[in-house]
Amino acid sequence: MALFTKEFDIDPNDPMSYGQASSSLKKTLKQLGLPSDTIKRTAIAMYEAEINTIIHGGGGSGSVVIEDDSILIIFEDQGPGIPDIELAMQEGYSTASSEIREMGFGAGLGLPNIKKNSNNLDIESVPDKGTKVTIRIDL
Amino acid sequence: MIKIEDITGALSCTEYNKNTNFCTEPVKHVAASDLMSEVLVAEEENLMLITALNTEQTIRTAHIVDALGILLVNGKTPQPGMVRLAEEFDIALISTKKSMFESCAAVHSMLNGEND
Repeated sequence: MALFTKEFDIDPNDPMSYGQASSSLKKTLKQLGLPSDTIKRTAIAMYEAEINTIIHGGGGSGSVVIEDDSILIIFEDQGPGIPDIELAMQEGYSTASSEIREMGFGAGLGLPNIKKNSNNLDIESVPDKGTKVTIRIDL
Repeated sequence: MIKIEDITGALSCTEYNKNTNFCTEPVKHVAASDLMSEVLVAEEENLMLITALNTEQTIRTAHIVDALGILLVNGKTPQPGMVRLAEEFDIALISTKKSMFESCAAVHSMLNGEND
């Protein structure tokens, strides 16, 4: 049975809200009394994915399910998709625009950093249809 | 023990948010970058950010990596939303007129002096 479930929309038109879902989850994980290392890994992985959904996917939706033995985070967008996932996983590879870089993102470190901080990262992407990113963190 | 209070004094900083640990928690590591993507790969604890990026994403990133505080360089003034979030997350926010290079050199020297 899930200890906690939450769904949220990722609005690309409200810069103040960028990262809000991840900040909010971090507070919830602290309230649940999870180890600080787990909280930090989860927050980093989710924040990277949330920012990706905004800057590459043009916004979308997400969900978090916390169970006894894992945290499952899913982000979905209807953006341009990732043509070559293997290439996108390489550190330093980025298709980010200069506007994204001015926001402090787009260094090509996001996906590898999600992988590093999670126990499993699954990316399903169809060009011109969108991307679904599923992150699992074991407890 | 170098605290954010000490760095504020040494770099003649303007204080925009004085957090709970401002005078007590030691700064042990620094991440200096205008790219938050680079800050997100920092693994150290008791971290302070040095950056010229004065947007809300700097505070969000600091919160996610458990940073103690943010030092803005080049006399950058934080956006109003940035100060609000710094207060909400209890993260120190200070700004100096010094450049990134001068700020990093000064903080490095303070942290190194501590280890001598």
